Amino acid sequence: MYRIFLFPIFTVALMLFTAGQTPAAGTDERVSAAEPAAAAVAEHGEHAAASSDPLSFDSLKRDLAVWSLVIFLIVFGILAKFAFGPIAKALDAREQAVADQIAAAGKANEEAKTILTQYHQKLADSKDEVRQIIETAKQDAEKSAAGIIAKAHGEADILQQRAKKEIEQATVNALQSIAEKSASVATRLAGKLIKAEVRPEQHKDLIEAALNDFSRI
Amino acid sequence: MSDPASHAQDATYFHLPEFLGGEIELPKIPLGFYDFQITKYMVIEIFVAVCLVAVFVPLAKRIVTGQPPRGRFWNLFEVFLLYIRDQVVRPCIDGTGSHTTGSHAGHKRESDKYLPFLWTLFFFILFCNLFGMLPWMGSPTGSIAVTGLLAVIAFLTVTITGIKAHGGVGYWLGLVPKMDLPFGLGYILKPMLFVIEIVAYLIKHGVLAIRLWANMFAGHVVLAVFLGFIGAAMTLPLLLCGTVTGLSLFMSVALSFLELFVAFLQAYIFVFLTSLFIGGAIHQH
Repeated sequence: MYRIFLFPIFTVALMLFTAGQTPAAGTDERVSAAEPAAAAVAEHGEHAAASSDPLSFDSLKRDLAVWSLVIFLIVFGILAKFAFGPIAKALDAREQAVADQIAAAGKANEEAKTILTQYHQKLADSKDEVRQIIETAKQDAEKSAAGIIAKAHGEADILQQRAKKEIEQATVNALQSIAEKSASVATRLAGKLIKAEVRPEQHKDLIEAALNDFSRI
Repeated sequence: MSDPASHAQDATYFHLPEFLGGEIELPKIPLGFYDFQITKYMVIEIFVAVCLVAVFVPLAKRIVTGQPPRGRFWNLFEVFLLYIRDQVVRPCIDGTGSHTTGSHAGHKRESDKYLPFLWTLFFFILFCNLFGMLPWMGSPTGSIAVTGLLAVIAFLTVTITGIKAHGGVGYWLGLVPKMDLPFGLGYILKPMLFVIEIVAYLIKHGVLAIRLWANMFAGHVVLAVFLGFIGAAMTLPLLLCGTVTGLSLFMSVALSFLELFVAFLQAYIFVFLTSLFIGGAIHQH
């Protein structure tokens, strides 16, 4: 990955190294070239200050260029290996994770929407179902009530019929009893009147005959 | 008043207040064949390197856990990283928008292999720029040696990227835009355009260095000039001296805010243009 930068860096290093390889006399030149500048800057006394011409490329600047190259190279090497390389990868990984999470969230949202729609549908269905159940229950209840009422009516009718029959029977029995007693009383009275003695068998025949007559009445 | 430009340039000493040791001479390292002079900007670059490692290695350890960073400090740097990636590098190299989620997430991009380099470039420049805002420090990017080196690295990166993408001949010939020219005219115009494009190619990379250097150098020179007025006004009557001092301080504070903005802006522009050049080398015309 970083091989692409090796060639430019070594080329620059070679250029600067060649430029910086001035003989020892070059040092003397530098000092002598710096002297006017140092003299101009009175407060700096005898320091070998930089040339007053900022664009001149003296030996101090050559040294600085070489030094800057070395520093830049070292910094780039360290940062690429331990900082910017891992950071670039980590940022990409984080972005991928964020993108995945957003996609997952979108998917989950879609699923939730589908589930919500299904839920609403089920809720609507269950409402209809409940309504139907209530309706059915109401109808059943009405049917049951009608059945119960009909049954009660039937039973009441039966009871009424039975009571009527019993009343009629009781009436017949009562009338029969009244007729028997009336006949008996009449017979006894008649016997007393005619002073004739009537035997029990005759007495019974007379009563039955009187009852038959009575029932015909 | 001393030369204000000297305050915005590299030096072989650190100029600290007396209670911090005054002026500290920086040593020469004898290499046998050459005496290597340590300078102020070299020391500041070491500070910059240490700061970069101290910030981004722990940040990486936090980010690789997969958890979002907690706290303003870590969020601040992650915002920078994401901004450079999404608003600068990816649009310039891949030509895609800033949206990173969705269909693009996890997709390998051409810009991904340049990200560590461009992040390093941005933060190296930014921290170098910002060190100029600290008392007794300076901006290494205020030296043409540093910005020139960064521009050469950008130039070689762009060129090698282009050659890898289109081949040695194809890349250079591709610098000339495609044109439907009448027969014969192309043989005259295209070589001329080729020369113009080559010159433009060199200039636009050279301007990377000049722009960054000029902004940082000029900003510090202007600050030094305004502060120098205070020293120059010391011999004036009290009222005049006070007025000059007040105005100079006000202007220095105002320009410091401007410098702070320029520090970020120039780091952004350098990386933006480098990304654009890399993108242009990959997708020619």
